[in-house]
Amino acid sequence: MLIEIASLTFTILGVFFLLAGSVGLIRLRDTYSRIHAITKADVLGFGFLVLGLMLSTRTLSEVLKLLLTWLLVVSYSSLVSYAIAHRKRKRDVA
Amino acid sequence: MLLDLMLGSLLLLSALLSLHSRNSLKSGIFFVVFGLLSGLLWVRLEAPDVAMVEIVLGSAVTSLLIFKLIATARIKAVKVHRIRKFWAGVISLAFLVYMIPYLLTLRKEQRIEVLVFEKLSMSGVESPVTAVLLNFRGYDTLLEVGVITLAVFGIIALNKGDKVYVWRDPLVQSLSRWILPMTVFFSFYVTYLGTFSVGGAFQGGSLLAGGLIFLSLTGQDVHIGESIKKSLLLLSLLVFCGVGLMYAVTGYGFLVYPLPLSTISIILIELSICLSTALLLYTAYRGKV
Amino acid sequence: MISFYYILSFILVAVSVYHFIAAESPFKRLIAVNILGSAVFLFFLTTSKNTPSQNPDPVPHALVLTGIVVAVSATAVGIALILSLSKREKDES
Repeated sequence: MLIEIASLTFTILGVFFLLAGSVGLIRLRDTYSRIHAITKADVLGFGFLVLGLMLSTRTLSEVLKLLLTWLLVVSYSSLVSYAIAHRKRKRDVA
Repeated sequence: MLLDLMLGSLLLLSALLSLHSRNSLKSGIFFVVFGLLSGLLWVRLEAPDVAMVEIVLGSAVTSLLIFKLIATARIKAVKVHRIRKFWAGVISLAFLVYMIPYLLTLRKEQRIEVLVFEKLSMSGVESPVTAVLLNFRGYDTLLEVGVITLAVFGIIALNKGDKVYVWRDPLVQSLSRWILPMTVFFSFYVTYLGTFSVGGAFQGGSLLAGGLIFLSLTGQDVHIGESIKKSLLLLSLLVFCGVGLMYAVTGYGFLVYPLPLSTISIILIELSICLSTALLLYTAYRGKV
Repeated sequence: MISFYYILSFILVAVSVYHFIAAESPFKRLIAVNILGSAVFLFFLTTSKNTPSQNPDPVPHALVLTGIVVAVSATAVGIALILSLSKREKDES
């Protein structure tokens, strides 16, 4: 019961941060602030979401798979934001 | 129900935006969104095998190909005549009207799946999709492998030394090198999973192709000889035909596996398809061997 | 629920057929063909779920699986054709 409540709380927190990141992506004006919104809020939201899902699993292998997914998504999303920022800076300088 | 409606309307919206926007980059980005949403929809329709292939191939590899096209070719838009637009509208409306009686007479029907689940124990694998793919309808898959191989040879023939966009950034290069062994491991794992669960040769092969394309995007390449690469392109066709012919000669029939040998035959064919599909798609992206 | 998916696939087919015929560039035509393919896959997968039994029919799943791979290779050939066409136009002008 306690684990279920914790899992639900973490999932809702994760969804909230993901939503905040998406709103920031749409509402903010320039590229750098948009990257800021999407990296900070989305990585945090995704982390909470994975934590919530981990608490609701039964076997250890599922937990490890979720952990691997989290690692890959975090590294790829930071790579993508790096790529966007790099491109933007190059264009601004030129 | 609500989730289905939301996903469906988002899918329709992304398709419309992708088709309507004048800017080709915007159109390509909405196409990626369309591919990802349709992958989610396949999960909702209880087709996880298809969803895996759709996410990797339908959205990732196709969009890389589209972005390569946008970056290298200048796309010229021609003014479309009004009569042509009129007839296009008439044809699509006629199709919609034609399909109304089909919708009205729709009911649940018994399909062929009863037969599949009945004969599953005779196929040598436990996953129904793999059983259909490589045992019951092996001809289809053999011809499909033939089609991809032919398509890739066509692409190699058409290629006249196109420049491919690469991004030689040390950070990205090291990340791609760090991630490739994991991709190789995971794609073989997915291929092995195909014998008893969700997964299979095409899923594994397309994952491996994604990893290889990521490597080539950063200006690196796999260091194996050109002749080995060329023979790997043909590997699945040769193995598939070879296994089929072996059983034809020994008196079982083309692609009819005897029960004790069926599991090992299917695993052999699956491994060859995984390797070949990966290299074929990688070659299709690069345009050369 | 099932009929919603059928209607969605029919609308997608109609829209993409319209854009395939009335496309202003070969690139748009390529995207229309891809969306048309996805609509057909949606129709197949919906059909596979429209059975009284518990499990969805695996035969359409296998067909759609091969279909996606073939669609991607066909798209790659189309892109190679458009690339060589634009190169020829550039050489001529």
